Amino acid sequence: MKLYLILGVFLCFSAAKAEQETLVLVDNLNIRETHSQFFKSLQDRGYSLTYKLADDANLVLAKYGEYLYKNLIIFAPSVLEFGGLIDTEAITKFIDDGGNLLMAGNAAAGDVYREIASECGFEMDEESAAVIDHFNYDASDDGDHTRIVVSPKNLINAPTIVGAQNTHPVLFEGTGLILDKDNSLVLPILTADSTAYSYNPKSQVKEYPHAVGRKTVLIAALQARNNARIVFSGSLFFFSDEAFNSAVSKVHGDKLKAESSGNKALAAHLSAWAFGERGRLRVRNVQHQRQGDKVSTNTYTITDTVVYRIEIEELKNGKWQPFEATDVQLEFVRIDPFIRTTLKRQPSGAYEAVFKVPDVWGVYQFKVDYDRVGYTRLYHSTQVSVRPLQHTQYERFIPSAYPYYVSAFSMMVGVFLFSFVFLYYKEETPKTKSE
Amino acid sequence: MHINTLSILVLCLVGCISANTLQGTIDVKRLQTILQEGLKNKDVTSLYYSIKGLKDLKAPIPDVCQDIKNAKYDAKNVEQSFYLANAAALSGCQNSLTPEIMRTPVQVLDKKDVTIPELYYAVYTLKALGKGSIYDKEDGLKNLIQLLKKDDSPANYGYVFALCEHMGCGAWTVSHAEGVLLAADESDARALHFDGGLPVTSMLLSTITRSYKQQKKPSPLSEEQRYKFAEYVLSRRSVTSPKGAALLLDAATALADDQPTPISIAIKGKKYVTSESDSIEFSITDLLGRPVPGLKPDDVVAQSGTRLADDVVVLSKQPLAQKPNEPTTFVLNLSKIKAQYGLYKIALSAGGKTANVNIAVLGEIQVSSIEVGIGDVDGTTSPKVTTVTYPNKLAEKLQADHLQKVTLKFTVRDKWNKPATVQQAFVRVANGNDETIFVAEPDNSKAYKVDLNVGSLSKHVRAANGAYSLSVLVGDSAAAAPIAWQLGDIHFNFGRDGNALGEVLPKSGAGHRGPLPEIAHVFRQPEPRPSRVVSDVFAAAAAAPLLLLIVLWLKLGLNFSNFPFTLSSLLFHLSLGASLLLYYVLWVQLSMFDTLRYLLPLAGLTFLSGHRLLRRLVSNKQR
Amino acid sequence: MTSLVSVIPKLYQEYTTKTPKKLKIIDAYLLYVFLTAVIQFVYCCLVGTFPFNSFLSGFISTVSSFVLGVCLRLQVNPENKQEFQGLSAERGFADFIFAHLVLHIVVVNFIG
Repeated sequence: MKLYLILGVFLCFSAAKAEQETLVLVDNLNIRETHSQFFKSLQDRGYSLTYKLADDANLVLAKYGEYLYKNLIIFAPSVLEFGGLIDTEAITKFIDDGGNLLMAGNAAAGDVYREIASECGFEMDEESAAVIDHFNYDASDDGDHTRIVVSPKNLINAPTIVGAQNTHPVLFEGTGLILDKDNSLVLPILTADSTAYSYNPKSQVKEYPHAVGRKTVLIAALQARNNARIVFSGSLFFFSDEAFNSAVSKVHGDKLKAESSGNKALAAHLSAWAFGERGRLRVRNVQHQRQGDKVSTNTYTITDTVVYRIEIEELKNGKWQPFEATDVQLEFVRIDPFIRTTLKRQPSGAYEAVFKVPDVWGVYQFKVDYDRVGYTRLYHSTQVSVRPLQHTQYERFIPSAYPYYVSAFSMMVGVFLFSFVFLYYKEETPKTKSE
Repeated sequence: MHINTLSILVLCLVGCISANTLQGTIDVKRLQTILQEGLKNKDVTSLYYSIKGLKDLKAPIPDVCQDIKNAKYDAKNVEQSFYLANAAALSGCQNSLTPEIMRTPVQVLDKKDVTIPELYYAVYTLKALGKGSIYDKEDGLKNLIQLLKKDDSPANYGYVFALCEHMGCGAWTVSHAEGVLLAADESDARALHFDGGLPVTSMLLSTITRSYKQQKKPSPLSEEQRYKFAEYVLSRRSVTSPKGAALLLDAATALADDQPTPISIAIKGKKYVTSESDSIEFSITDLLGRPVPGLKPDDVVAQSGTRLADDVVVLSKQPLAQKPNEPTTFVLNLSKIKAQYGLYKIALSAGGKTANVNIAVLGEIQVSSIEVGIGDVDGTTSPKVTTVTYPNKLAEKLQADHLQKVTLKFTVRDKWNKPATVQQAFVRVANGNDETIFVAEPDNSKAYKVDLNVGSLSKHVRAANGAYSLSVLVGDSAAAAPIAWQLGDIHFNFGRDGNALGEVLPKSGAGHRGPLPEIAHVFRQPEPRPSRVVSDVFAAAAAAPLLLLIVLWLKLGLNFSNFPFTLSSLLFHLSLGASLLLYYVLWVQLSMFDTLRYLLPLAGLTFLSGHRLLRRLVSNKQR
Repeated sequence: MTSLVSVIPKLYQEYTTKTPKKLKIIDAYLLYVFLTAVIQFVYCCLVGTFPFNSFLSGFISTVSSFVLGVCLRLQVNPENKQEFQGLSAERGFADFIFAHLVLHIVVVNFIG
């Protein structure tokens, strides 16, 4: 018995720990040192990092069908081909199976990066093209105007992903992405200003640049339908110690100056979101019953009043806590939604809605589909059937039918009287005798 | 002048320096801050390294005796005893220690299979407590050499050298140091370090240099080795822990104090020259940012300056001026090349070392005027041209519809009014945050021209009629300042395909996920019912014929002469009446099952009695 | 037109003199049923068929009663004796009552 208990605790513990296993692929081990602050911040949050060279021949993501890592960090822009058992397909499968990915490239990124980026829905510019902004570059730029200062106003409006207090500008030096505007799953986390463009810094712009102005996305993210998250940054420099520690001073324009860049805070928030520390929701408990009933059934009658209660929890600081929002909606769907109401948050933490079942019968579903930027998709549906009124549940003794009631009973009375009259009437002077 | 050609020829990063000199320094102030923060940490390791580091920096150490007294450490761990004892010794707080701190080191010294690190920690703990003489020199050295034979990693050599410093076998150190130095690992052909990273490297460098100094022998490090170790130290400069900071300081000081010290040459401040600020500042220091000893200001000379585009030498043997009040900053005045913009390579020599630096001379660009023409797409009529001078906006409101095109023509000129080509010449058409950007292309005379076909523009801007702002963006990496010129508004009319501005157009997918509109089910309206009065009136009317029936029958004249006063007749009528009454009760409250249950006996009764009655009537009639 | 006008008084006169009293009793009953049906129908036309089942039930109750009454009248009418040989008026009456019992339970069930 004790053994089982210990084993059980161990399994739980190891399952929790497995969430933090992270593989870091770099193209030279020096990146461990030049990006030490970022890695240290991950380790402080409990992640166990395994550093490997990207073309190491012994790379493996899964063993005996089970993934060894939950998260993958690829800081290897110059890799030509991944070693071992990792390639674009393996990485795509890793994401399909729920793994999270954080990738950072730069202007010298190879084709493998381009492949992976396009699998995720981002289009990278070609090799040696960098994001150039002649109007917003930092004083520490080398002359090509590729180290640009990006104001926090260009961040996506999603505090779950980027945090709420981004006041410092960030430094960025790398390549730009463009997102397909029909893809509803990709998110432009950080975009460049209108004056930026993505091109080879050594040449004059002859053809239309890959990305221009606000459409140039510097950091993009994707939350897949299985809630795996991918964050793709066009700049490896963004995560480096140099970027974290340096001051910002824009040369032209509003000459924005800051003592320290916002890179460290933003990188911490992005990695927290990407690896599932934030923005995870789950459904705890769903109840539905007729108003006033204690027991819930899965059959309702039309025009019943139904009370639906759902408890949603959010992962905050490693613990599941009640989720707070004002826009969770409930749909009562047969094939199209018949009713859509906003669930109200009760003081007990659960979300509740009270409504009247439509007077159309059929098989319905209570659907809660909560899909917001930065949060995992919450989808829960319960099937119930709505039946028409039983034949004993119809209205009776309707005032407007009194004439009919009266006439029916009058018929009966008439028959009763008639029986008397008919039977006992005697013909006084029978004209024709009946036999 | 072709500004664009100059930018093409960047061979290495601006500020690139050859392998001969270093291009960075250790930021001592940052390390000091880390160390001071480390003092607040109650962990013995941080405490020790913070105190050690601050002591090395000769910075004031606050009173930490209380912290040392309260510090928690594992008394059985000799390394932690070492940290605590030495922290106390360095900060003068020996009184805060308890005597049992000596127990573990003494035990270690007597251990049978002791390791070198343990020995080191034990001896130095006792030394800090004033009992260092416990460890004997001759036997100790023999013992250590035996242990080294088993495991001769550079880390162990470092400990042995340190122990030799204490025991006085510095000569042994000197004889073995060079061999150990050769065992260093080289990375990237630029940096040298020892296996084990910063702690081992730091310990080895500091013990070797100290031992050699004590033995009054010249340093065993060759110049190349010094530079390469310094490169490694620089690569680790972004440490964040007190231990890292103290070790880094140790290593850096050991290298910097080893003459001739490795020189670091870096551009201080901006890496370019414009017509307003025509000098570049260089910072020439040693590894720790201190002035290079023995460097005379006259020794700092720009040997040559070559233009990268065409290899023309523009300056030679120009001395740099030392900035007053800043002994490490030297200023190179480039006023004579400030007119010729482009990228230049400067060979700077100081103290016998040369560094190659790339700098840029930026030029000014200007756009004096722009011609905005509105004409037909097919060019049948000549376009109406409006000229706007910089930095004004369009004087009149321009309008263009979907059958026209807008042409913009402008020339970018340099400071001497000669036309120039630039990297970025864009025209931006925007409505709020929605923007479309067009690339202007130069023709043979370097005039930039761009055509905006209004009809095809409609696709990009989602075809909403209205005013759009027009601006021109010109920039180049060799330009001192970019130009953003707001031209004003143009009103576009997209004809039938256009939507009125303000209509809600379908949004793009990304980011638009919000609550959907609420739906409330519209229940089927109940059928209109008549008023109660009407129903009652008709109910009365429905009852009226019964009255009429009775009246009619009475008028006809009834008699009940055939009525046999028998049981069966009574029973028949009663049961008939009862059945009908039962039907009424059924209507009011019973269910069909109950009714049938009651009805069957009643019906039977009715049948039987009715049969009897009718038989009697028939027989009566026949009589 | 004139023929219709002249026929009606003759019909009325024939009816009052020639018809046996028993049949007139039945006719009075039939008139009563008919009037009830008409009133229900007029009511339904006025206010709509809202409780359609009640309307049907009430209306059919009257219609069926009328039909049963007519059947009884036919059977009892001495002029039809040849058609109903072997079936006496009493027998007709028994059938009439039986049918009414069945009719009324159905009507009450359906009337709601």
